[in-house]
Amino acid sequence: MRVHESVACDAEQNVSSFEEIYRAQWAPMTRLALLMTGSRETAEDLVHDAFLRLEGALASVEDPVGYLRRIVVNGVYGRHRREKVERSHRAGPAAPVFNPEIDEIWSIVQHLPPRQCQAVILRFYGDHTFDEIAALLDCPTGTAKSLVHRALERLRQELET
Amino acid sequence: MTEGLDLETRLTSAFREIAATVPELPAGPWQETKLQRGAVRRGPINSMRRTSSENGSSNTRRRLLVAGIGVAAAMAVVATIVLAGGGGSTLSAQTVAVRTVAAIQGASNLIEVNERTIFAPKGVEKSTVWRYGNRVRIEDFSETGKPQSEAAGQFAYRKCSTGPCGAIEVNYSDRTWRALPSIAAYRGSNDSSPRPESSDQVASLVQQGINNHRLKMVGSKMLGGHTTLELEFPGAYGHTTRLWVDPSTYLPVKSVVFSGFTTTQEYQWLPASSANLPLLNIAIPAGFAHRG
Repeated sequence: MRVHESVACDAEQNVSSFEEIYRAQWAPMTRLALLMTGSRETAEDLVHDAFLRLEGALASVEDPVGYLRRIVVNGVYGRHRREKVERSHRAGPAAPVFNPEIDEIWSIVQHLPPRQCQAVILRFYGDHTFDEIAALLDCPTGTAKSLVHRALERLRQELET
Repeated sequence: MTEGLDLETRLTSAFREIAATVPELPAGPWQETKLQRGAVRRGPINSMRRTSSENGSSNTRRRLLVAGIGVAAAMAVVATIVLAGGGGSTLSAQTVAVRTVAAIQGASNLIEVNERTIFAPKGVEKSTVWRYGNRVRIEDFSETGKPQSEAAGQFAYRKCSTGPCGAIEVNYSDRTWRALPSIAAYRGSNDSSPRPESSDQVASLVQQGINNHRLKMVGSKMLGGHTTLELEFPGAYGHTTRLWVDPSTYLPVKSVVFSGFTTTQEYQWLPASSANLPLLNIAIPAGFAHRG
């Protein structure tokens, strides 16, 4: 029995317009970028650039949301690399201020190595699988697991002290 | 507030609270704003906000960075070696890598069989993937060979020309089966794109090595009675990849990624013959219940 052939195929997949994608994805992408950068302004900047790139490639992109997410994640990492020195002197997210526990967790997350920071956010905020994290970070799945594992170890250590 | 919960739950809770500070875009008329350098900014009128990238300086820095990368790439030196037993042929690591990426991308007429093992602190995870074009069959198993609790059983997937068609999951742990909208649903995601499969991931790693000019040809090595070419290249996260490719086809035979968790992958490339194509099929075993 060829089970896979019995699955109904929805060939009529809607192709969203740029505006629809923008309206639906601006907030999720900005939230993701905010968590990864610690700055609302930087997050909006990155997401804006990502949408500009998507617009140019929309006709040829099969999965616009996945494409957008990848640009944002790569953009965050590129920014981390360029601003490495500045980042090392950053005390942590300035605003908004949450309750002390959230502030503490976010501060530790923000001071993780950039890829660990991204991996742990993709895992526990984005609810992505390790394979998806690996694809977004362009690394092997085992490395994605390792990044999350190390981030959790570091968080446990920091929160216990 | 969340004290007493496990760390992962506390993280999720904290991330959601922080993320909630970014509101949804307000509904309203759409506006296009011409920016400097001809770029167009779009969005609901009352969400328009000038950002730092609009002052031109970040784009200038970006262009300089890209130019710098180009210069660095042009200056890179490719190491070469004489392959032992290769009839005296000399191939650079870069050449082998480029041919390997091309071979993987051009293997659409072959069925890829990949056995992956990840050695993680909590145990060994194994999976086998059969792939032909956009059709994928996956088997995930735990260390003992028994199906894993959360991602168990056999899985088949196919994709039509315009989008994912659906998939079937057969779960051997609770003896059930169910239809899923896509392969991503099997992996617990709403993302409609299929997961990156084994050779795609390796091609991506090799491409990184090509871009970084940090490839190293280790030499030739006998694997399973066949001569292979062995490459080594560091990754961006402190990991190192060793890759063995068939010198006649440049398709991967084996890869090992040394990182926090070591991952090994062994490949077979089968002709898409009538005898081999059934490898992509799954069948629901008798007595398995349908799960809605």
